[in-house]
Amino acid sequence: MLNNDLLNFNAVLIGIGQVLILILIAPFVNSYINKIKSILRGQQGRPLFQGYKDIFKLISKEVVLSEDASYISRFAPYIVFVSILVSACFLPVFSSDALLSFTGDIIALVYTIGLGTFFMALYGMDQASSFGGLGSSRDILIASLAEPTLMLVIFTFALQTRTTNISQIFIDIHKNGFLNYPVSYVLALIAFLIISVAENGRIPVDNPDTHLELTMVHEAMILEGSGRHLALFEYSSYLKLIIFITLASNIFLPIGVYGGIPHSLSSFSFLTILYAVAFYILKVLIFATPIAFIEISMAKLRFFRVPDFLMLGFVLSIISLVLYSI
Amino acid sequence: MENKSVNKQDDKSVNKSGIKSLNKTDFIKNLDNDIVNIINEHFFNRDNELVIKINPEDLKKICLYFFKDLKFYLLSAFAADESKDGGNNFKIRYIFSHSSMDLFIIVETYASADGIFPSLSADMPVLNWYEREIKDLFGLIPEGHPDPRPLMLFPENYPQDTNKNNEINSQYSSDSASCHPLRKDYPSGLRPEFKKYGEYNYNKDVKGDGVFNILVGPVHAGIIEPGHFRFCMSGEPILQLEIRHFWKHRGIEKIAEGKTIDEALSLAEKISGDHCVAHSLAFLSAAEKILDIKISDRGLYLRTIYAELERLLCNINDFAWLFQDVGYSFGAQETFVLKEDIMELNKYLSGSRFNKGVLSLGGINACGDIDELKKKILTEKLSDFKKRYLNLKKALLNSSTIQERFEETGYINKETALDLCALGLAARASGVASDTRKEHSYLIYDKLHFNSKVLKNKDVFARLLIRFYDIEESFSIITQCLNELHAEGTQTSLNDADINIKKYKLNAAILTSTETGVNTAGNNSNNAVFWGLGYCESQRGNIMHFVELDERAKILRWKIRDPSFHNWQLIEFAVIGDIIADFPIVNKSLNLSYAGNDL
Repeated sequence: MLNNDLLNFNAVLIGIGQVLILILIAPFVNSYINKIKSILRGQQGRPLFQGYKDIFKLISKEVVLSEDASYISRFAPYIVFVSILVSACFLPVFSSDALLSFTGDIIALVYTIGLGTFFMALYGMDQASSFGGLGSSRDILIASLAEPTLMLVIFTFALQTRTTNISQIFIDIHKNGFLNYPVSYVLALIAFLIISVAENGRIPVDNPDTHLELTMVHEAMILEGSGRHLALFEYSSYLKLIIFITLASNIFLPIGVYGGIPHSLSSFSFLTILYAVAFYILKVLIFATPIAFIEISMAKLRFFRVPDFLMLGFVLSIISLVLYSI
Repeated sequence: MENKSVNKQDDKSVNKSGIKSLNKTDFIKNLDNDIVNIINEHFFNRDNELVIKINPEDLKKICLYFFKDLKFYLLSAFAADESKDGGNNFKIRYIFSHSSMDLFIIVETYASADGIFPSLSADMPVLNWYEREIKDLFGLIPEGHPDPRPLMLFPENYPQDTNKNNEINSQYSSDSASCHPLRKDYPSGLRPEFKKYGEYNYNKDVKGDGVFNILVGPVHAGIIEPGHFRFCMSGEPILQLEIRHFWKHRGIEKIAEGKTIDEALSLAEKISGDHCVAHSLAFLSAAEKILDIKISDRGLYLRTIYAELERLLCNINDFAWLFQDVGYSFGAQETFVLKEDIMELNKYLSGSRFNKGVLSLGGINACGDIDELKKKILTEKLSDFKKRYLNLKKALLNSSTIQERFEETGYINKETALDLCALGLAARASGVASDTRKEHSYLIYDKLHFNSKVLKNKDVFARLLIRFYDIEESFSIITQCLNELHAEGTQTSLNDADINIKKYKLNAAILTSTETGVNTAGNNSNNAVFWGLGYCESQRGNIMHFVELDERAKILRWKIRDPSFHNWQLIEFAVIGDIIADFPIVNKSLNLSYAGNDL
């Protein structure tokens, strides 16, 4: 590693820039998915910038808390948001200069997100409403089944690149491409898709658009949320989705200027970064589109079928791991 | 117990088939001797309305005989306040019907002087709500009712009876100790003081490790009518469901008293918004029978077309919501567009998206007439709708993820359906035939070719399939009607109806004068011609109206019974064993009316 002060300063700037990019485009991606869904249904749909307006509207509203709510309800929205933000700091978005980076940070990323999930579940139960507890128990069930699969998919790449540092994994994949192990990759991609759908509460696991309290998972936990608390929860879920999409797009579509920026200080320029960012956003939109198509073409699964669905992801990830190892 | 009733039924089956082939007038003679002996009086109010008058102490015997032995269906039960001059006279009627015979049996009895009548709920679960309704609205006590909690006038907002004596002629005021709005001496428009009078108690609690309750409603996350559901759960599976409805009691039956038929017709359209045609049809058919108004053939055909359009619209709507509730928004959106197109067609035909104001006493209003141009457009649109509908149906039947949600969810057993007298598609999906169009043919349904499909699968999917059959039959019925529709002259002109009303008034005046002259005993048995039954098959099932007019042709008692009143109770049984996340689908598969239930 270079120990140049200027480089470090630049690296920090890029790291901050990466987190900012995530924060900036997260609401847009959500609106983009909704827009595609609407167009496919023959509707006009909400504007592409509705996500920002919603957040802005919610922030300016007051928070109403249940009388039975404890301090957990006051802190949980911030903890959830911060934990997602921290995990975003681990993530190299368009350059490998993540704000936080150390060996094993991909595992840290998964479990910092897990901390958010945990506090959201607590929040659901803390409100003493009928549905919060229901949502929490469902969410924890899904999360606990999705997590092993996610770890296995990650280990597939960790084994391949012989590191558990995300930046290194990404650099390696971008350098070598995935043509070395195509079958293993395809299976891992499908497994990853299944987990992303489950973790982000999308159809067929959860329906983000439903008004039926009894069928909700993620929405049930935040049903009592209001004002800036709700804004934080909404923002966290936008961010979580974009983190998963970023992971997927950088692993499964390893093209772009990814590795180039930090290693050649001489070629460091504003234009390169702009180029990288544009490429990244394009990749994100490419990966967000299938989510809309899946949501439009499937019905939600019966809740007790969800474990079967996640089991499919688990099996695929194991096969992927084994195929790589042979 | 089960075997006994089965054996009994076998014994009677010979008898029953005997009844069927015989003239209806001989019906009474073919009943068991001990039943015939306890009948005080019997007569035909109309050719398919057989009235049987009995004493309250024989009520149980005779009702169970019809319900359990002869397998009759209960269609309605209600009280009427016929008190005069400080007297105390409450009549209670039970309407029975049988699927293989065009005959209504009206068992008529009375409450005792201190306002008590025998409860049959323990043996006939369908009477549970009826008896509690009578208790709330009339203050009559169903003696021996297993669950005597208030049904509609909840203790949170309405004063409950405190005095055991049940004083009948107490003066009502806003702070009086009781509130029984359907009594004649209860001033219309009087509201009890707005305060909390007591606590509502749930029926039963489920106790045990890990059992918890989830209370849903009456305010929901979506824009739907109010209903309260209490689920007792252990994890996801539902152990018990208790529903508590009747949050917005409008008092339609009380408002209607003293109103003319036209005024009441406007109320009838508002009983249950989406069943506007069906309810007004049922109400009008009762009124027309009493006033002896004949409707022209063309009027009958037009009424059938509008009734079927409404059935079509409601079924398509339910179909769309089932898509929506399993999260298949693509199919849902397409189906909602189809529904919207049908509503726009309605607007083109009649000027109202719900076909409001189309029916009138004696026929059809001019706005609802279907001339050659409208006929042509209607035919074109229908073939287009049918094509689109068939595509959507194919999409649903080809999707394994959707079918997976519907199959094996929300079982309603045949026994439950029979005990609670399930109506319409809910019954037909559980192997019980129930279709008024076939059983008591009205309008021109006897001339039309259509099937009333009965399935045995009893789950959500079976109910959806029944809807599919109904939609296809509706398309076919409307086409048949349009082919037959040629004669001009829409309605028996309004004058005819007026003449009939005048005739009726004259007749009634004569009858009442002879009654008071001759019949001093006070049992106004000659009133028989003053009332009639109106019924039709709505999309949800049989609608039964009982209309009683006074001598000025104004409403004296109007009992409305929407199919939802029977079918809501099915849900408590349909969800048992299902997981709570599937409740909305079970609920939507029946898609019952809150408003029609809570008058």
